[in-house]
Amino acid sequence: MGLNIFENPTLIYAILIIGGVMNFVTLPTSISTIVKKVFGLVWILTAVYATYSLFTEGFKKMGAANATAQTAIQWWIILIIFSIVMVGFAIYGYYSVTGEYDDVKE
Amino acid sequence: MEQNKTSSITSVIASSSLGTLIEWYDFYLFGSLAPVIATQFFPSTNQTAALLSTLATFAAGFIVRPFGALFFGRLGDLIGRKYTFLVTLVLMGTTTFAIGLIPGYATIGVAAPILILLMRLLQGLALGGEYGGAATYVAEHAPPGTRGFWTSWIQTTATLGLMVSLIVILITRNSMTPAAFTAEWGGWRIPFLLSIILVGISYVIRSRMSESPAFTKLKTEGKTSVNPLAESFGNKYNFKLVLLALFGATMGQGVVWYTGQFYVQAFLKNTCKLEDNQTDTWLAIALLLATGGFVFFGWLSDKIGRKVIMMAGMACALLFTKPLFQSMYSQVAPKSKASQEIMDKRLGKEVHSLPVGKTDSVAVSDTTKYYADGAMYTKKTTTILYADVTKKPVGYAPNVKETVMLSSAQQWPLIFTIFPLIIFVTMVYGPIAAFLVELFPTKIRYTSMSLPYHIGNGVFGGLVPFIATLIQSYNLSNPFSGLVYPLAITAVCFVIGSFFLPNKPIPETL
Repeated sequence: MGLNIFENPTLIYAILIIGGVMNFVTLPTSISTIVKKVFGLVWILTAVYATYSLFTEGFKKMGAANATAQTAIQWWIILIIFSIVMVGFAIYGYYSVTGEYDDVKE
Repeated sequence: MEQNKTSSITSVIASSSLGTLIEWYDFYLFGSLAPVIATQFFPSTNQTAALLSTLATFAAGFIVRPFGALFFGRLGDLIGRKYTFLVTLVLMGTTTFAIGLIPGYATIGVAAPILILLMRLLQGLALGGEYGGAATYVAEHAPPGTRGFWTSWIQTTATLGLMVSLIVILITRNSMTPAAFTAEWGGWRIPFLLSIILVGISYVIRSRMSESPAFTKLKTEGKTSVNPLAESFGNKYNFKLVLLALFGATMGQGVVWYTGQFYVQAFLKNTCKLEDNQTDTWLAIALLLATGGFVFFGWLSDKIGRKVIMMAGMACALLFTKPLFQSMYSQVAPKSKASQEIMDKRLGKEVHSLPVGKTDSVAVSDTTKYYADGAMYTKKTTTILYADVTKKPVGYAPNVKETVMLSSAQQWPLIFTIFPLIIFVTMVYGPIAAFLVELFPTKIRYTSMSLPYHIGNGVFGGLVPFIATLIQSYNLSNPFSGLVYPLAITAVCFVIGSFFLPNKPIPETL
């Protein structure tokens, strides 16, 4: 489902370093705005990709020869709930792109 | 005067925390007794299918939590915090008690799993309303600058509730034979029935408490919300804070919590094959040792900010979760002991029996190995010998149960491997109630903070054991493949939290 990229230690270290620095450094407003817009796009794409991957994986498992009614129930619960949450994630990304989070200041 | 204030807040904390602890206790019983419940209410010849069926029920309990958050959150913002979390307490207590009274599938057939599912859904609904109420109530009583410290006591209840449920189950299980414990009307029902007494006590204490001062002030001034749901989610400014709280804080907190407290239990039992009593006892000890962390990090968040501590907890989880699971695996799992010297090996006799009224006989054989490190490994194989081989199901495989018992010398190294995972939980969970309370205005606080909390914990966190087990079932050769789900969610949440969350409370704008 694409999640195995998070098994890559280099990616984890990069996330830790960049995220860690951001807890102690305040970026200039212009740079912060651009970064938030870029992240917003990433979140929208992530939401679309995650939903697509989940549905692809879910239908594959539900259509497998050894699939049972339980398999279908499990996958439909996951697909419905995560789809709703991913819509929320895409809205969150959209708000980031449109600068809605620029006014959330300390 | 100062002493009176401290004594007042202490009694607020004690009465709120006791009720919340009991609600968590009630909720966890179901998960901790999942194998027995699966046998009694979800019959299946395939153990994994029965387990997944129960896990699905487990997830159903969590999925209704967000609905409970909306329903009771709205009530709490309309009529007050105190009465709302009294209702959730009673609802949780009565449904838990009812689970202890429902006859098994063998007696009432399909009605049994339906009733269990219904009770589980009601439990989820009650839990959805409880936490937001308790956290808001305590935070609104806390003196300025100490919200992190005082609300952290509420945070301890989730861990203590799990610990109490494990202890009650252990005592009950050890006071009778395994058959008496797992029978249809067996000892497993006692922890559920006990709940009614605990809830009764907590109800009496809570009903004597006064309403939160902040809500009372709003009500006196006629400024309470008329439509909390519309004001929470229809107001764009507030809605974007709800999304921020979910994706920048509670989503990561939920998966770190459920990995450190629940997936670790499933991993030790199912993947490492550690014996049930050892798993539960040692997890309970690790939980007890780490519980102080909630209060410490809550207190610290009053001094240096909530965000930095929560993000540090997520960073530690990202960095150390997999190595800690690898260490547990190497200490316990039979496969990791393959290279060790075997001090003794005993092959039990193969015992054949013919159950009454059946034509197929059952063959049971067992093997015991003693390793150089003091661990004992047993493998019990149960094979059905079909009288008519044409009736043998396609793909039939004998039932194999493997168990590892570690020596007492191996106890503390394992406990101290679990311990850091729970410390990471305390880092992300300790300050979160204060963080959420401070993110939203008083008049819609209960509604606004409850939803992201329960989606983060109920959906993202609650599904960790389910999704991790599912992922692992597709990749059996890698025992750590299930961890990829919590690690991915934590990584995304860490990035969002680090870049987008404020480190200080947002001034009230509504």
